[in-house]
Amino acid sequence: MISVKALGYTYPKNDAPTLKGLDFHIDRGSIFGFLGPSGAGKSTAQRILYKILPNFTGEVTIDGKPLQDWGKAYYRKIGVGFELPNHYLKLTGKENLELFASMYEGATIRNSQELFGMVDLQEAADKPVEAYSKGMKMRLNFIRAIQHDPDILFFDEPTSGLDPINANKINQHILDLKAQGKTIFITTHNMTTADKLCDTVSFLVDGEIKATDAPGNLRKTYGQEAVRVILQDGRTREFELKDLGDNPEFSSFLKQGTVKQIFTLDATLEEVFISVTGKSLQA
Amino acid sequence: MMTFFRQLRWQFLLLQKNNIIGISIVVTLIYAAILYFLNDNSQIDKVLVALVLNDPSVIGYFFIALGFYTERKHHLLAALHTTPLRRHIYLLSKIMALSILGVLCSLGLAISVSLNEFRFVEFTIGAFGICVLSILLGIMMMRYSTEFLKFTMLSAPVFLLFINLPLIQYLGGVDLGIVKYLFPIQGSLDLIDYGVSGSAYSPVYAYLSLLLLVPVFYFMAYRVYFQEVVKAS
Repeated sequence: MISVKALGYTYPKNDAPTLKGLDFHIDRGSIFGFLGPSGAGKSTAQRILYKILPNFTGEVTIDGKPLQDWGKAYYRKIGVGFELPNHYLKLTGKENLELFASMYEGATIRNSQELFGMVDLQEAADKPVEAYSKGMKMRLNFIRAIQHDPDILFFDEPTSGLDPINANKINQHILDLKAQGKTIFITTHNMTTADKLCDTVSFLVDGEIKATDAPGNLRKTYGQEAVRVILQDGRTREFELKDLGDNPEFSSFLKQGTVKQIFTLDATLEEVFISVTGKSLQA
Repeated sequence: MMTFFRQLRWQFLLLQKNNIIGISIVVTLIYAAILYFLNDNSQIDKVLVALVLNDPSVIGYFFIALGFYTERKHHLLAALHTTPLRRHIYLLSKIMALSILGVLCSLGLAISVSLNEFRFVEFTIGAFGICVLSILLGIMMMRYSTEFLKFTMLSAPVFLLFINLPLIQYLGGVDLGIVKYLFPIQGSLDLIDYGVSGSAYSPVYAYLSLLLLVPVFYFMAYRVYFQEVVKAS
């Protein structure tokens, strides 16, 4: 559905390229995530894909058609959830949705009451957006992106500024959209979001992709297949997961005292990221 | 066409919610009251032309910039231009909304004065021409400033050249001879003057200058606007 080959981009006043030959592919009905620290080029790549930044190099095809050949119809096909709230503050939430809906001539616009209900904003629908908190504005961003029922969705830090309850709700809505067959491209530096949502992630650092795989595969590849046992008296040992039930040393260690903690030594996505790229996601 | 009118309606709502319509009406009423009390003055038509030149042009020039700076500050430009709405429609609806407001304010000023003869068509076209050209100039000037305060400071000399120099020439302060025909608003000024006082003017020059300058100004303004969208995204 989305195919990107050797994507490069240099901002007009920069000498160094921001993107250096990115290659990735996003299947229909899947969630793809770009993970990387600030300044890695994640948002630039997304901006190219939603046709705000022209003059890129390389090849981008959407449904087999080069991005450059798509006209205004492309914008009916995509929905964009921006990283920062972007609304007319003097208009109400409902008016903001209606204003943007008026730009999608001929498209089927979802019922606004239903959309506000989805993100628990029904009470605020008729209030000016200037009275909204950042989290409310971000939820409004989300429903505005999906109101014209697009096939492809771009979300830039979709849970940024949200409390854990609302972040979980948005994550669940994104999974629901995937279940409806939508193709979703997320950029984030939040590995929890990426781990929960993405079928495939790419690690992007300094404009280059360092690794691409399913989060589970990456954790498996870079983690240890072992368990760590910590006893109440502080003694700690690690055991291979393979044939753990038949491991006499494991059984014997468990009998030596009260077990305080026992856990697998899977790597977190952040640990994998650091291991692959040598950089932290918070950089 | 329906898309354009729909966007025009939204632009009026935005102007209203941002109190721009209210401010314009109040300023026009103040000017209209001044004109009303100066009604017996023999130079009233000159005062009227001077106000019409300044009031709607200021509305267009500064409020278009204020609107764009606000949209940029609130990160709206990228959001607006990831929709199927054509940039030309969006830009034209903004220009038209402010131009209509400017023309209505100009007409409000004109009706507050008891003119012997008022040529509505020429006056309206002239006022509309000044509004559109001022708005487009405002958009072009955005290239030189990233914030509204700096924009207003940069605007003083530009405005002097664009509006006030032709006005001073019109009021007889200087005689620039045929050089006056190089001013972009001269055609509009001639039409407004004819509208309120019936002064002789060249319709060919007036209409031709508007027909040529409005598209040229629009093309230049659109380029600046497009670059701003890319920059702001």
